Amino acid sequence: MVIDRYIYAVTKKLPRKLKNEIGSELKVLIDDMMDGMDNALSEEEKVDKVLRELGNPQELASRYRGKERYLIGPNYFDKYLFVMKTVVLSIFIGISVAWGFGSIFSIESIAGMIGDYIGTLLSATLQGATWVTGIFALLEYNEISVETGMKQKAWDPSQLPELPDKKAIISRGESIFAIMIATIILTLFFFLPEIIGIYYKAGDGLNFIPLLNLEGLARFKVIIFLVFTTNILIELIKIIKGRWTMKIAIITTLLNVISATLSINVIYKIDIWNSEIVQKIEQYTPVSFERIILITTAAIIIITIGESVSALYKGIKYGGKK
Amino acid sequence: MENNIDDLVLNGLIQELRRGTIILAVLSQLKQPQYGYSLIVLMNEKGFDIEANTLYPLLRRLEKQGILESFWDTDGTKPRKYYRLSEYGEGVYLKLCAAWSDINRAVKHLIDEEE
Repeated sequence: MVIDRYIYAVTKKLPRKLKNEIGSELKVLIDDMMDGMDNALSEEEKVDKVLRELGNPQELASRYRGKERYLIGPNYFDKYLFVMKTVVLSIFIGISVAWGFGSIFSIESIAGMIGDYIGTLLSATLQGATWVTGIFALLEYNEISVETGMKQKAWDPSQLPELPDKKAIISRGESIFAIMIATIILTLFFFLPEIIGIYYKAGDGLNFIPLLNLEGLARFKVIIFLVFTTNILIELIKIIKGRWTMKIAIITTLLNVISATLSINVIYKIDIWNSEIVQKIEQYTPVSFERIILITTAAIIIITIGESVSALYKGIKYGGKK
Repeated sequence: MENNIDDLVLNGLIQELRRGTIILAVLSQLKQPQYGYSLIVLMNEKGFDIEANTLYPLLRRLEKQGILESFWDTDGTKPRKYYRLSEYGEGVYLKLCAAWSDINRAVKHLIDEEE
């Protein structure tokens, strides 16, 4: 029956507790409206007229709901698209580069490589898109402003964003580059760890010693993934915000320190290194393997401190004004 | 053709003007309990056109805001939800009436000044 179909169309997306009540209310209303009509009309004509008068069921439903609901509403949509494009692009380039390297050094067949490449690309893009959508849906749901990072309250002139100093704007290119690098490294460690190593000429051919002990590495995949996610998160926050503020500086510094701590933790696990390469290095070079790890650790610490100081400097300089 | 467009614009403006008065008009008729359809008929008879797809959601909203209270009458063949002003609603209605007279007076003053 058309009337039931109409009522169903109105009520199907309304909250469950309202559904029945609004349904029966509409039923009686339609009945009353038909009773109030000219009796010369046939039953079908009456129904048709009444339903036309009530109008599009979706519009009626949204009037009952009172307020439109969005996963990502008009306030966030432009920013969402921008961030989504950036992230997908970086992941695409990063994975393509990593697998490009992989295909040069791998012994696997090209067809198999391409299959794996597409698989990785799909799952990584999906992963990235999910993160971005999730973050924005959360912002939308809680009505948190991207500008102030706070719940949207009554508007006040003090909320106006500072005119951006050119230097305060976070470069999108830098973030894309950082996400790309992180993606390349993660892809290598996660999917192609067997091709990382030292290649050297021996007679006619190329000889190769893998750098990593695959079984040892497997136990740390979660941590490696965590480091990767943290780094992506840092860049995401930077892109979404778009300019340096004190808050962004503190958050990125914190995440940087976490990421560095985890990384150092992993490289000190002797299990993850191929014991053969450790011996070879100690045999042929004057430096010990331990020394190399120490130098790497120092490099990570110096880079992290450098990045943090630069972030905090920009945060204080451009976002310190309250 | 041009006339048509002018009519369309004018109609839109009139609709907009009416929209603000709907709540006041509805509240004025709810000192006695009414169900949705009886209210539409009553108001149409008195010259204020209101459509069901506007009124029904509005009644619910006003009830949620505590301005109206409701009860179901299931005695007849058709179960009906009756609405009437709550105690709080009566106060709101009086204040709205006062605001309406103020607006009316001020606008009238502005219009008369024009002439």
